[in-house]
Amino acid sequence: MTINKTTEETMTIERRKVLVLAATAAGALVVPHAAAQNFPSRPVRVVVASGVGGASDIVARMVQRAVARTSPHPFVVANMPGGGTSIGGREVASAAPDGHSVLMMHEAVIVATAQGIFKPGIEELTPLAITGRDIYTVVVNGTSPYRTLKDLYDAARTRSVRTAVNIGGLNHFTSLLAAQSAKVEIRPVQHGSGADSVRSLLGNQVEVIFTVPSDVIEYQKSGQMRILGIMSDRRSVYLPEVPTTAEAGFPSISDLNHMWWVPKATPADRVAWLRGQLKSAMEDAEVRSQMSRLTIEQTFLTGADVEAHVGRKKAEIQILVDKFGLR
Amino acid sequence: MTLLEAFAGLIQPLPFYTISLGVFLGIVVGALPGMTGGMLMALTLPFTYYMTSSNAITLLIGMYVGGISGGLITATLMRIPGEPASVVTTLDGYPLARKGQPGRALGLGISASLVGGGLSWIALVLLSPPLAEFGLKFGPFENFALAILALVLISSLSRRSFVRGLIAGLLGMLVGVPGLDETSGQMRFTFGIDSLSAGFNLLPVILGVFALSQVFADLMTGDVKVQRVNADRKGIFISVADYWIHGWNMLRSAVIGIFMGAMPGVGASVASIAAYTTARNMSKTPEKFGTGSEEGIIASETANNASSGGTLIPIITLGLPGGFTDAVLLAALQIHNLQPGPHFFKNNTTIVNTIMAAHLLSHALMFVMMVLGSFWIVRLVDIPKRWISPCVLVLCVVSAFSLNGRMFDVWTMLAFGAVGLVLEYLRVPLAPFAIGLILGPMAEGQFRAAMMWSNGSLEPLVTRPISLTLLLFAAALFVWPFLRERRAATST
Repeated sequence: MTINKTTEETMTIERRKVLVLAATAAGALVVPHAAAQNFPSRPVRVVVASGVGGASDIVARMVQRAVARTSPHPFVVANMPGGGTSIGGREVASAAPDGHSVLMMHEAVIVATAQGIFKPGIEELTPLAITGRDIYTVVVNGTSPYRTLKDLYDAARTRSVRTAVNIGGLNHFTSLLAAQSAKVEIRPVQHGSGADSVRSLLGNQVEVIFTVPSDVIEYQKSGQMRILGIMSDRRSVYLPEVPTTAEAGFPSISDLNHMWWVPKATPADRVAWLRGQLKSAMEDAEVRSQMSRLTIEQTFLTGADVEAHVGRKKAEIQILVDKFGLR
Repeated sequence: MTLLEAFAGLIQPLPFYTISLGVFLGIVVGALPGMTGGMLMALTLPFTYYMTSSNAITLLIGMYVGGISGGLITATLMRIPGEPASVVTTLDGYPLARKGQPGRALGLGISASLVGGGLSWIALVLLSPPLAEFGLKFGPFENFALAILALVLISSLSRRSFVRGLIAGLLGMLVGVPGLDETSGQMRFTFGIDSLSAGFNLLPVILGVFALSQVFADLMTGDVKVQRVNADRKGIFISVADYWIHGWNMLRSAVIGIFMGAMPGVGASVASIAAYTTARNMSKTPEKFGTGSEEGIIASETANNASSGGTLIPIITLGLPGGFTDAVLLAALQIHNLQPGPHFFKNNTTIVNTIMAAHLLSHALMFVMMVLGSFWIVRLVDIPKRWISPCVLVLCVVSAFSLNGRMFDVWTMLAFGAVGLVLEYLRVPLAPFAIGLILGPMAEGQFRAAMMWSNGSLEPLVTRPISLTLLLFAAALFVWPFLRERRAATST
C-alpha cells in the first residue's frame, strides 16, 4: 500500500471526481425536467380549510383513503382552519400551480370571497369537482311547539326567534335565505362551529338551527330534535318524510357541496388527472357506503358543470351580500 | 362488553403495547416545548385508519393523557410550558425546582396528575349523563360568567403590583384582538396583512413569551447551576401524608377540572387557571404562591388532568366535541364508521367502555412512566444551558411552523420572544399576559354572543341561575383574600 500516491494516480482520482461531479450536476439539471414529466412526483397536499373532524375533513379523508388505493402518490390532508376559510384558501391560491396543492372547501370559500374576507378569492382558483352534496335543513328542539315551518315563521312575526350561526359563514347565509323566503327576521347568535350550534339547540338556548342532516339525524331519531323542512328542490332519500321548503310554501334552497380547487394556473393535464382521481374515489364502494352513512348525496360534478355551479352560487351570494350589507 | 372486560381487553399484548406507546409519545410530545398532544393526535389520525376502532381510540386517548401530563416536565424544570395548559404550573413548579427541589416539584405534579385523572374517571363512569345535561344549560351568558371567574386570577396573581398585572392582562387581551372577529364577520386590526386574518395563534405567542424569552435570558446570564438537594427517590414519591395534606386542594381542583372539561370550548388551560386562582385565594399562605408553593403546583396539575375526563363526557353521551382534541377523537370514531350521537352511549357499550378503561389505564401508565423517568429527567436541570437552549430553540421553531405550515407563525414567535424579554425587563408578569390572551377572546366572544341572544339586555346575566351563581363565585373569590387579611389584622 503506497502512502504517497504518484502524481499520475492523483490526477486520475481527481479527474474521476470531476467527472462524477459533472455527471451529478447534469443529472440534477435533468431530474427536475424529468419530474415535470412525471406527475405527481410527490404526495399531493390537500388543504382542508376547516377543522379536524368536521364534515369537509371527513369527506377529504374518505377520498384520501380511496386515492391511496389507486395512486402511487397519496393525498395528504392538512387542516388549516381560521380566518373564515381564508387561511387555507390563501395557502393554496398562492401555492405553486403544479398540481401538488389542492384546496378542499365547500361554498364557504365563495361566501368568504364575496365578503372580502378571503383575498385574492376564488378568482385565483379553478374548481376541480364536487364530490358529494349536503342539504341544509331547518331544525327545532323536540320539545318546541313548532311542528311545521309555518308554525315557526308565524312565531317569528310576533316574537323573537333566535338561531345559532357562525356569522359570515354558510349557515348564517342560509338563515338569511330562509328568513327572506318567509319575510320574517330570525335573529342570529354567534356560535363558532356546527357542533356549538347543535349543542345550543339541544340545550334550548335558541329556537332553531340550520344545519345538515348528519349533524342532527341521530337526535331526530331519539326525539330530541325535529327537522321541519329541507332546503332543497326535492326530498332527501335519507329523510323521506321531511317536506321541502317549497312544499311548505317557503321556497328556498341552500346546499353545501364538497368542492375541490386548485390554483388557477395549474396545467390542464394535471387538472384532468386530479379530476380522474376524484371521480374514481367517488366510484369506490367504501366511499359510497360511508357517504350514505353520513347522509351525503353522492353527486359528482366536474368540468363545465362545476364551473357553472360556482358561477351560479357566486351570483346568488353576491345578491345576499349586497342586500344585507355584509361586506 | 362490560367495563371489567374492557380492562381485560386492554391488557392483551397488542392493545397494551398500543396504549403504552400512546402514553409514552404523548408524554414526550407534551414535554417538548411547542408540540402539543393535540398536534400529535391529529398527525396520527391517518395511521389509525389501518387499526381496529378499539386500538385507534386507545392510542389516541393514551396520547391525549400523556400530552396533558407531560407538559409539567419542562414547565417545572425550565419554565417553558410544554402545553398552554401547563402555563400556570410554571408559576410555582419552576421556583420550587430552582430552590433545589426539582424532584419534589415533579413528584407533586405527577401525583396531582394521577389523582386528577383518577377522580375525573370516576365522574366519567358514574356521572356522565347528568354532567352532560348540566353542560347543555350553558349558553353565552354562562360561558361569559365562567370566563370572568377565571379572569379574577389576573387581579389576584399580581398582589405586589396590581397595576403591572393589569397591564399584562390587558396586553394579552390586546394581542387576542387582531384577526377575523367572529361576531361581526369582519377583519379587525389586521392592517391589511393577510396572514393576520386568523389573528396571532396562541401557541407561537406563548412559546415566544415563555420559551424564547427564557432562552434569550439564559443566553445573557450564562449557566447558573441549580443545587440539587432533593432529587433522590424520596423527592419524587410523595408520601401518604402529602396526599392527606393536599387532599382537599386535589379534590377541589379535580372538581373544577371536571366541570371545565365538560363545558364546551373551555378546556384544560382555563381549568388549570381557575383551579390555581381558587387555590391561591382560599389558601392560608397565599403569599407563597409564585415562589414555589406546593399548593399551586397541585391545583394546576390536578385540574388539567381532571379536565381530560371531563372532556370525554360530552363526547360519549351527546357525541359533541368540546375542543380540538375531542374533534380528533370524533374524527377517528367516524372514520371507523362509528356514529357519535345521543345513542352512542347505549348502542356502543364496547367502545364506550374501552374509552373509559383506556382513560384510567393511561393515567396509571403515565404515573409509572413519569415517576420512573423522573429519576433521569431531573438531570436535565444539570445540563448546561448552552446545550439545552439551541435544542429548545429548534423545537420551538419547528412547532411554530408545523402548526399551519407557514413562516408567519415563526415570525410571530420570534417577535413575541422579544416582547417577553421587554416585559420581563419591565417586571411585568408573564402569566397574566397569557391568561389575558387565552381568556380575553373567549370572554369577548361570549359576551357579544350573549348580547345578540338577549337583544342587548344585560339582565339575563343575573337572572339566569347558573350565570348568577358563577358571578357570585367570582366575586367571592375576589373578595375572600381581602376579608381574610382584614380578619388576620384585627385578630392580632
